[in-house]
Amino acid sequence: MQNIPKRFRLFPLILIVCGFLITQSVHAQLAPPSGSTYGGSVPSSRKVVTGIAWYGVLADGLAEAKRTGKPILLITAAAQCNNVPGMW
Amino acid sequence: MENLMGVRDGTLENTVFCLLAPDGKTRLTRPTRGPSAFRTPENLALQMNKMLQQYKATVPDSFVSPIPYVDRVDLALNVAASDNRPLIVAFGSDETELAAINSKLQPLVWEPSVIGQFMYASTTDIAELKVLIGKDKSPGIFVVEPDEFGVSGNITQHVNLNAGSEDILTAIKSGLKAFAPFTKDHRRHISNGYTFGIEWETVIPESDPMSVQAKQRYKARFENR
Repeated sequence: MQNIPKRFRLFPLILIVCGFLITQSVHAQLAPPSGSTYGGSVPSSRKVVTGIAWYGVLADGLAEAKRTGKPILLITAAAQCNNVPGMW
Repeated sequence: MENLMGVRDGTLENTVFCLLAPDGKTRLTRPTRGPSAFRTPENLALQMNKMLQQYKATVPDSFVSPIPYVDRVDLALNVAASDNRPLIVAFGSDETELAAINSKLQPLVWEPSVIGQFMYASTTDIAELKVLIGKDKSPGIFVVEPDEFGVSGNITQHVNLNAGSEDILTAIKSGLKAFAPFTKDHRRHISNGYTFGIEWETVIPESDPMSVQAKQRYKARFENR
C-alpha cells in the first residue's frame, strides 16, 4: 500500500462502492402488498384513525397550495391494480 | 403531470411521491415511487414540518378550504374502496342547489373528527347516482359505503336539502361509525376481480412500462390456469 501513489489508494474503495450500487436490485415497480391491508381504517377494531384529506384532482390541489401558501405533498396512484378496481 | 415530474418520453410511473413548493412547480424533493427515502413516518413528518417553516401561510386561520372532491361519483367510489373509507356524495338537481349544499357541507368537512375520514364527490346528474344502492336519491347529501371493488355503494345515510348543519354532521358521524372497512388480501382481491369480470380502465392510458408488463404477465397467468 505504501508503494501505491496516494491518489490511487482510494480507488479500490470506490470500486467496491460502485460494485455495491450496481449489484443492488432496482425496485422499479413497487412490490404488491402482502397479507391483509386495510387502507385508512382498522377493520377488526373499527377504530377511526387520523386521515389525510387528499385533493383528488391535481388542479384543485395546486390551486389550494397557491391560495394558502402551503407546500404540497404529492402522491399519485391509479385506483386499480392489474386492472382490478378497489385497490391501489 | 409529466412536465411537473420532468418525464419527457411518455413513461410516467404509476406512483409518484414528491414534495413541491406552493407554486406547484418547484420540487422540494426528488420525485420517487414512494416516501421510503424518509425511512420512517416520524422523520417524514419532521422534514415536512421543517419545510413548512420556510413558507408563510397566505390565508388567515379562519379560512375554510374547498371540499376535496374527486371528479366523478364512480371514480370517487373506486378511490373510497381503494382507501377503505366511506364516501360522501353531494347531489343537487341544478348548480344553485348544489352550491347551497356545498356551503353547508364545506365547514363540516374540516371538523377535526371528520377531516380525512371520507372521500367526496358532487354532481347535478342523477345518472351518476346509478352506482349507488338506496331507495331515496332525492337531492341532498349521501353517506355511502363502497363495496370491496368500489363499483357500487350502499347509501347508509341521506339528509335532504333543508337539513341544518347539525343534522348533516350527525348523519356524517353516524355513517362513519357504522362503516365496516374491508380486510383486503392483494392476491385474493385481484383473483376475485378477474373471476367476477370486474375490471377498471383508467381514463388516461397507463404509461408505466413496468406496470403494463406486470399486468400482462398476471393476466396471462390467470387465463392459462
